[in-house]
Amino acid sequence: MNGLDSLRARLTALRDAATLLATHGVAVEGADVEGVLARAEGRLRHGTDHTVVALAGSTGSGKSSLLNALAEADVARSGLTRPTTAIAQAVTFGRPAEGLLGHLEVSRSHHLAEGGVLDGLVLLDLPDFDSVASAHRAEADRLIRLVDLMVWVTDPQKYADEALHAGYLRPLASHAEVMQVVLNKVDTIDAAQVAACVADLSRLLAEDGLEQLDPIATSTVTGDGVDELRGVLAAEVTARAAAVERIGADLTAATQRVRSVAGVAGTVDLATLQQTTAGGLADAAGVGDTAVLVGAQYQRDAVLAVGWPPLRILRRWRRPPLEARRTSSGSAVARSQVSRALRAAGEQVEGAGDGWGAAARSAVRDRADAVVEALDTQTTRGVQAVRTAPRWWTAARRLQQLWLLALLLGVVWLVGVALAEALLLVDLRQLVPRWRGIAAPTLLAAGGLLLGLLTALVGRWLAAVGARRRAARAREELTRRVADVVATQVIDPLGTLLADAREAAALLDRAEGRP
Amino acid sequence: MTAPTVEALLALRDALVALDLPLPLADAGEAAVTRDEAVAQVEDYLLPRLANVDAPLLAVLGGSTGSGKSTLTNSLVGVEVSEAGVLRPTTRSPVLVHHPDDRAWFAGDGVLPDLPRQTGERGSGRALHLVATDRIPAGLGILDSPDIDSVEVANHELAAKLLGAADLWVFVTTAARYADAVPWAYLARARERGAAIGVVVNRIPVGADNLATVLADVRRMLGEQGLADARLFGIEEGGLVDGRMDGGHLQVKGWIDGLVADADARAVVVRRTVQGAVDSLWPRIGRVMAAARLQVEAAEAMREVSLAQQEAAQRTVAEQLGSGVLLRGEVVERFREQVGTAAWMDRLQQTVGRVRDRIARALFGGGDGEVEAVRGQLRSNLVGLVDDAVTGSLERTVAAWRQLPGGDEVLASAGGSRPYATDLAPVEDLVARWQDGVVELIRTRAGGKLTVARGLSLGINGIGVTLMMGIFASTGGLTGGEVAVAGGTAAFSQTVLSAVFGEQAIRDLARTAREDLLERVAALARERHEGLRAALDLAPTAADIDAVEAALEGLSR
Repeated sequence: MNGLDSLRARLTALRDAATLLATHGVAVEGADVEGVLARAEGRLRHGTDHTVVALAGSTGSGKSSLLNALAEADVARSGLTRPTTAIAQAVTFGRPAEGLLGHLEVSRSHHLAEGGVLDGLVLLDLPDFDSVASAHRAEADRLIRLVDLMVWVTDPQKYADEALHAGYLRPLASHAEVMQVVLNKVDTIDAAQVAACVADLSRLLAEDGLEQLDPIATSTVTGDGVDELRGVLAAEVTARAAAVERIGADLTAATQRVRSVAGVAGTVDLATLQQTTAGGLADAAGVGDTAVLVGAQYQRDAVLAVGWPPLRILRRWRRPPLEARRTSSGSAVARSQVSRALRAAGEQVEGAGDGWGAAARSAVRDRADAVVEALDTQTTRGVQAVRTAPRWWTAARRLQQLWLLALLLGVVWLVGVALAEALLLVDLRQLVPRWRGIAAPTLLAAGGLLLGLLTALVGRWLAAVGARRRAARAREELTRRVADVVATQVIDPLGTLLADAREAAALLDRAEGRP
Repeated sequence: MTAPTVEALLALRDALVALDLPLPLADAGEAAVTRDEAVAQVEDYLLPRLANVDAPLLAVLGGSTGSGKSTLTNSLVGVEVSEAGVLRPTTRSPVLVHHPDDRAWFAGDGVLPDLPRQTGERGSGRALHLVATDRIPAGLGILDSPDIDSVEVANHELAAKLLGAADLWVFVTTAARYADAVPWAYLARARERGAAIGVVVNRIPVGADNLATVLADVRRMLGEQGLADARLFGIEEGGLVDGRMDGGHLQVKGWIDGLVADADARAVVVRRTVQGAVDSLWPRIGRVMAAARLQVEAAEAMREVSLAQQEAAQRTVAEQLGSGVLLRGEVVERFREQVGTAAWMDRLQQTVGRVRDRIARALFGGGDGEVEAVRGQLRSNLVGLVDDAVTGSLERTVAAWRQLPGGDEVLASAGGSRPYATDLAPVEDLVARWQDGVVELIRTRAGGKLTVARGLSLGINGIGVTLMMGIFASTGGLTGGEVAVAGGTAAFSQTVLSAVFGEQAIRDLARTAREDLLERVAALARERHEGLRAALDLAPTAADIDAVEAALEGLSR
C-alpha cells in the first residue's frame, strides 16, 4: 500500500533527523518525537484493517447515548448524575480486534458480530475531559493520542466552552483531517435555533483554525443526524485511511515543532572563517616572533659550528634564543588570544537561529582548551622540523679543525725551535725549511690563523643568509601548521555540523512529506 | 468584628499593586491573578462596603455559559432585563438590576467604582448596564454576570471581578454541567472568601426522582468541597412562560428577598462576607508573597552568579599577572637583547659614563624604539587579557542565568543574546591610563634616582616598561624565590631596577602599580556586570514584600 509505505519512509526520516539532532546536542523540547514514533509503530503493527474512532467530549454531552445509538444496542451506561463514564469503553463492529484493543489498553469492550456498514470499526467512548474528576481527563488525553479518528461531541449548552476550544480543538488544528465535530442533544432547542447554533459553532471552529470542519447536528432522542454520522464513519471504515492520516498528522506536527525549535544552522563562509581565525591564532601562537627566534637560533648554531674555535667558547655562554619560547607555552596571553579569536569566529555564526545556531556557536567557542594544546604541540613540532643541521657545517667544522691544527703545529714548531736555540744554543735556522724566505712554522701558524678567521668570516656570512632563509621557512611551516589546527579543531567540526544540519533539514522535509 | 480601617486597606492595596511578579516561575501566573483579584476585591467590595455598611446588598448571578443565568435573572426580576439565547456565550455587558431608590448607590461609585455605567440600550464590553425597576425590593442589586468558562476569556476576567464584589453569590449551573471542573474552582474561591453562597442547579430533566437524585449528588459534592452550608436550589428543565420560569425560581427569590427584608439576616450576611473577605486576604496574599519571595530568590541567585563572575574576572587577571607569562618569551628576549645589554655593559664600563650612552645607542639602534615596541606589545596583550577575562565572565554569567529559573525572561527583557557591553575602547583606555599611571608613579616616587636611570639610558619609559614586566612576573612582592620561579623576565627586571632604585623601593612600586591595575580591572568588571544586572531590576525586591507584609499587619491593628 503506497500510503503506508510513504508513511513508513516519513517516520524513518524523522527518526534519522532526531538522531542527528541528538548527536550535536540540539534539544527539541516539546516535540515528543519519541512518543510519536512509538505510537506510530504500535498502531501500524496492527495494520489498517480497523479504524479506531473515539467519541470525545465534555461531561453530559451524551457521548454514551451516541455510542448506543451508533451501535444500535444498549452497550454504554448513560446516566443522570455527573460525571458518568470513568474508564473508556470500546465497541468493535464485525471483525474482532483484540490485538488493537490491547495496544489501546482498553479493557472494557463489547463485540458486535454484525458490523454492517461499520464492519472494522472500533468505537471508543472516552471519559470526559472537563469534570472535577481529573483521572477522567488523563485517560481521555491518553486515548486521544492513540486513536485514528476523533469525534468531538458537544451540545448546545457547552459548545462554546473554553475547555473544549482552548484545551483541545485549537492545539489539534493540524489534525482537521482526522476530526469530526458533533453538536448533540439538538432536541433541547427548536429547529431554527439548531441552524443558528451550528453556524455559531462553525464560526468558533474557524477561529480555532478548523474552518474545514462541518459540524453534524445529532439527537439520540429523535435520531436526527445519527445516520449522517454513521455514514461519515462508514466512509472512513471503507477507506481505511484514517490510521495513516492520523499518524501523518502527528508526524507533520512533530516535524514542524522540531523544525521551529532546532532552527537553521545558517550559512557560514567557512573559507573566510578559516582565514580570519587562522590569522588570530597565528598571533596567539606567536608565529612571527618564533620565526625570528628560529632565525637567531640558526645563526647562533651556525656560528658555533663554523666559527673560529677559540672564539666559540665565549659564544657558548650566551643563552640560546629559542629558549625564550619555553616561557611562552601555555601563556595567559596566548590563551586569551585563542579565546578571543574563537569568540570572534563564533560571532560569525551568530546569525544562525535557535538550536543549531547555539550548537554551531559552542562547537567553535568551547574548543579553546583543545586549540591551545594543539597550537602548543604544533609550534613545537614545527620548530623541530626546521631545525636541521646543514651538511656544510660539518665540512666547515673539519676545515676549522684543520686550520687550528696547522696553527698549533706552527706554534709548537716555532716554540720548539726557539727553546732549542735558547737553551741548547744550537743554531737551527738552517735546518728550518723555508718557502720564499718565510720559515715553514711561521707560515703554518699564520696561515692556520688567517684561514681560520677567513673561514669563520665566510661561515658567518653564510649563516646570516641561512638564518633569513630558516626564519622564512619557519614562518611558512608554522603558518601551515596553525592553519591545520584551525581546520581540524574548528572548521572541520563546524563543517560537519553544518552539513548535518542541512541533512537534518532535508530529512525533516521528507518527514513532512515534501519531496 | 474588628473591621480594618480604610487607611489600612488603601495601604495594602498600594503595596500589592507595587508588587510585580514578572518572572514566569512556578505559581507566578496564578499568584498574579490572586493579587489582582485581591486588589480588585479591596477596591470593588471592601472599601465601598466599609464606607457604608447599610448600603444595598449586591447579589451576583454567576456560572457557566448556557446555564440560564439570564433566564433566572429575568425570572427573579419578573421582567425581561437580560436577553437569553441559544448562542454562546450569551450575556454581553453585565446587567445590574436595582430598585429606583438605590440609584445613587449603584450609579455612583458605590460598588465596582472602576467600571463605567450605562443605561438605555444595552451594549457590550465591561460597562455595567443599569436597570432600575420597582419589581425588586429596595436595598438589593441583582447582577447578571458573564460566564466563567466560554471561549471569551474577557468574560471570565470580568466575572471573577464581579463575583469579588458580591455580598451574595448565586451560582447557576445545570444538570449537564454540575461536575465541570471550572465552576468548582470558582466555588472554592467563594468558600475561601466566606461569601454567602447559593447554588442553583438549572435544567434538571423532568422525571420522577431526577430533581432529588441530582440535588443529592450536588449536595454530596458540595460537602466534599467544604461548602456544606451553601444553599442549594434545583430547577427543572422547560416550564418557561414568556422566557421566564413559571415557578422554579421562587425558592431562590424567597431566599434573597428574605435576606434583604430581615435586617438581622442581612447584617449577618454583610458581616460574614466582609469578615470572610478580610480573612481570606491573609492566605491569598500569603500565596502572593510566597510567589514574590521565589522571584526575589531567583533574582538573587542570578545576582550572585554575576557578582561571583565579576570577582572571578578580576581574580583571573590577578592570577595571570602572577603567572609571569604575560609577555611571550620572544618579546622578553628582544627586550633583553636591547635594554638588558645596555645595563650589563654599563656595569662593565662604569667609568665611561655618559659616553657609553651614545655608544649604546650607536650599537643597538636606539633603545627608545624598542621600549615603545615592548610597551605597545604589553598594552595589546594586556588589553586582550582583560577583555577576555571580563567578556568571558559575562558570557559565563549569561550561560548560568539561562540555566536558572526565570533567566531566559530576564535576558529577553534585557534584549537579546548579549545584553552587556563588549566594546574594546574602554579596555584600551584602561590599559593606556594604567601605563601612563605607572610612568607617573615612577616620576613622583623615584625623584633624584631618575638621573641614575637616565644614566642607564633607560629613560623613564624604559623604567616604566621594565617595572611593568616585573609586575607581571611577581605573585606578590619581588622576593628572590618567586622571581626565580617566574623565570627570566623578573630576574632580569629586578637586576635592572634594583640597580637603579634599590630592592625595597622596587617592591613598593611594583605592588602599587599592580594594585592600581587590578583596581581598574575590578572597576571595569563591576561596570559591565552592573549593566547586565540592571536586567534584574524588573524582579521585586525584599523591600516590596516587606511593604506588603507590613500593610497586612496593619489590617489587624
